[in-house]
Amino acid sequence: MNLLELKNCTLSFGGLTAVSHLNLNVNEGELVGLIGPNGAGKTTVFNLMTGIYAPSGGDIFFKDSSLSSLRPSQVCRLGVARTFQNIRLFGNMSVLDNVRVAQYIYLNRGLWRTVLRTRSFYEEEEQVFKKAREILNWVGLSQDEADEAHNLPYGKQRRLEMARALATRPHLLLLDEPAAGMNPFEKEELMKLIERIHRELKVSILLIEHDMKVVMGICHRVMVMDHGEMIAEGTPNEVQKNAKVIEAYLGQQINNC
Amino acid sequence: MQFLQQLINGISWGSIYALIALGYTMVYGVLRLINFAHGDIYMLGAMFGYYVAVFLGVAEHASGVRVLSVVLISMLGCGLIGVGIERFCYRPLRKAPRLAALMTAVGVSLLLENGGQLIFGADPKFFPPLIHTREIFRFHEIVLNNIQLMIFAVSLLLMFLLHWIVMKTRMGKAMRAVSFSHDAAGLVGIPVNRVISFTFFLGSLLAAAAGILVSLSNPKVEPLMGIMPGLKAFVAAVLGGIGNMMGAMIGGLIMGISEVLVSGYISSTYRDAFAFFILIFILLYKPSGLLGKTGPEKL
Amino acid sequence: MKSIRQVLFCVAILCFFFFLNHFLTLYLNPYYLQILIYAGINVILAISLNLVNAQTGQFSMGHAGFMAVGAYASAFFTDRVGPLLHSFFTHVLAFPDFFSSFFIFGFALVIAGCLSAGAGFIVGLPVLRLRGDYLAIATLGFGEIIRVMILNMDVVGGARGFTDIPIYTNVFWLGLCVYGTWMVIGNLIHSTKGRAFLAIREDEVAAECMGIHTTKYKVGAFVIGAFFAGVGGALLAHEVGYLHTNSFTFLRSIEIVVMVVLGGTSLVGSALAAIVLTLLPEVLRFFSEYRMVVYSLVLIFLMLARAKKWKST
Repeated sequence: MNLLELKNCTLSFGGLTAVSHLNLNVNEGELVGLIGPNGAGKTTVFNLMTGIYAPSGGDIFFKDSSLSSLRPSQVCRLGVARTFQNIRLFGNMSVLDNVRVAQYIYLNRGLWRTVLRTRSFYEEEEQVFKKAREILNWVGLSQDEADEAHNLPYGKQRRLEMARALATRPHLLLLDEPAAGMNPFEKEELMKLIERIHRELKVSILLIEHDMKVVMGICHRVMVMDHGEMIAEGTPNEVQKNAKVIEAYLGQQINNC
Repeated sequence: MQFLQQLINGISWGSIYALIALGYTMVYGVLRLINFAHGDIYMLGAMFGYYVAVFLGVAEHASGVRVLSVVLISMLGCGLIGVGIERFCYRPLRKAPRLAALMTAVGVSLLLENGGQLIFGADPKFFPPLIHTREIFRFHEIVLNNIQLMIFAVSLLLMFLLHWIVMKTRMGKAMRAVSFSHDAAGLVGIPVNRVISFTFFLGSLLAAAAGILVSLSNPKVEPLMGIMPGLKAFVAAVLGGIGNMMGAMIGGLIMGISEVLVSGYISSTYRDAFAFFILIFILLYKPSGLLGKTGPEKL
Repeated sequence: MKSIRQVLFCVAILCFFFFLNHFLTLYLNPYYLQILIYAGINVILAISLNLVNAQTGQFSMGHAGFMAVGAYASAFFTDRVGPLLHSFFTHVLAFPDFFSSFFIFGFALVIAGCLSAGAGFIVGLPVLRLRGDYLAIATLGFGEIIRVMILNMDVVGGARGFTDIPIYTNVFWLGLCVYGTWMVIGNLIHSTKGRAFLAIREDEVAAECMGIHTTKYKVGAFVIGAFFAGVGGALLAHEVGYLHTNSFTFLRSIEIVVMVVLGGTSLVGSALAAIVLTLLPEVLRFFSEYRMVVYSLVLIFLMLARAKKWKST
């Protein structure tokens, strides 16, 4: 069943077309990779999906409701969470607070109860606190909960971004180059974590990644973009052999070489 | 008839705003800083002019050389102060958030205003008449005097000079390069700090010139005289598209004319608020200004 | 059980400030009392601006405008509507004078806050689309526009100023308002919901993607800040007894900004800075000519001293 679907999506800035007539879908329970050379428009697709940009043409559906006119916060409420390519944590807040504030959409107590500190407010805070600890524990950051986020080492910052995204309890998680800048050991760990999220939390995942080892290692299906268009799609093995893909990455093959 | 007279007054004020606005725009171009203290440099120009004129006794024996030396000395003085402000107050903050630099600029502005009140005294001084006002053109009630003409002519001359410096000289080319990227300009061997100092120097020269020109037609000189013209010139710079020199000139003229019209036809108490209305309108609906370029915001 | 405790707590607070007021007016000399009141008003202003500038990261330089709205609105209320209410309370309901002025000033404070909050909403909604220095300049502009508009209103005295405002402000009201401001803003930012403000400061895009409606929160911070600025203005109006728009120029806004900048991000810091900056010119009486010069130097050196921190990150 389709969870997320882009139908004939186009996005242009002035004269520049970043994404053109793109069709893309993520099925329920899938772990899909989105690859493509630099500047292919992958992150732009994420920005479209999460409502940061509104498509200039076409439509985006998530569980059959259109996302194209929603704010990012509304998209988040529907159950789409993301991480960012150039880590965007709440740097001066503690690790714990980063995960706490991400549970914002599950808070039901209004501002008055917050100001007046009613009992239900304390109960809710307690729940948020427990959940945050649980998530941090789950991704293996419980030792760092009191640190400020910007003091964490790079790998842990990426982990925290995932933890923060998970705190919104998404159905679909969009990961933007989660392995960028990691060493091989950290990449192994990361792959395990992604697979665990997918398996244990039953979250569908779409990830952008340059590292082929990561993509080929965990994705069920891979989509390839170039110049804002989808050029290939299939299992990792199929995609690797696709002529168009090779061309996009390596340039045109010289005949009889 | 009335309208044409207003237009003449407006153009005269507008060229003053344009001169000050150029300083805002150039500094914003190279530093992305709203140099709040720029209006006070204009005040200092008028103040220095006053003291130099009194010292040289220009009022008693006016001569071309003396008038010119009053203008040049006070311009030079302001230029150096502008460079000093940049060196000691803004340069240490170049890597800091832009708001920190803005707050510092506000601090410098307050320092110049209040320090000015301490040193020069809060009472207005009367600028000695360097040039005597003469009517040079009269048509029914419309009067154009030599000072208005001079303000316009000198402003135009200075603007062309500036344009020539920025577009044709080596230093100008360096300024344009720095306004794109400090790092890249530094990598190709442009002395970024010197270029920025030079930018402040040029901007302050123009502001000082504006200060003296204003004092010719409106001889009351006091330490707080720079606040409002400074703010309005800033609005002019935003209106024309901040960072764009042509825009600053056009913005200055529009501000001058529209302001004179507002106080002439609506109410003079709303004159100062009007500038802010324009500012907010521009910021909300066309933040790039009349001549500025926009690019998509990158995430 | 809990609600009974809360009511008791409120009564205790009221009693505390009531007796504090009594005690201080008896034993403290009027000069010190006045400084105390100014300090308290500045604390309210600084904390309310802290929510906007330091917590939410939306740099506003128009706080004095909202202060002016509150000051004039409340003064208008107590001066024009007040006497009517007073005769209604004392003659029809047979309240003692004390209760009558209690209610009148209470209403005046609420009206001041609400009108300022309304102004905050009207200003905030369009302006908060801007960022950084443009936002700062636009709020400054709006502050000045509010001031000029009041200057042109003849019902509140226009350029002559608003005279003969009844003196209602005392330590009781001051204490209540400082406590109220502190509690509302403090409780807000120390909760998960309130951490949304901080999240916006840290990274607006990321905050929005985590489900926080950033526009709502930014405007919200602005409205709450304006509310308490209005209350502060009302207290000032009923302390001085005279209002002129010249006390609400953008210099006033900058003074409040300096308190917040000096105090760092915490509420305690802002409050302390507000107190220090109120006391400083009083302590340095012989220095009074240099007051504004010292002020600007403090601002410059403060920013330069922080430059080191920014360089390292």
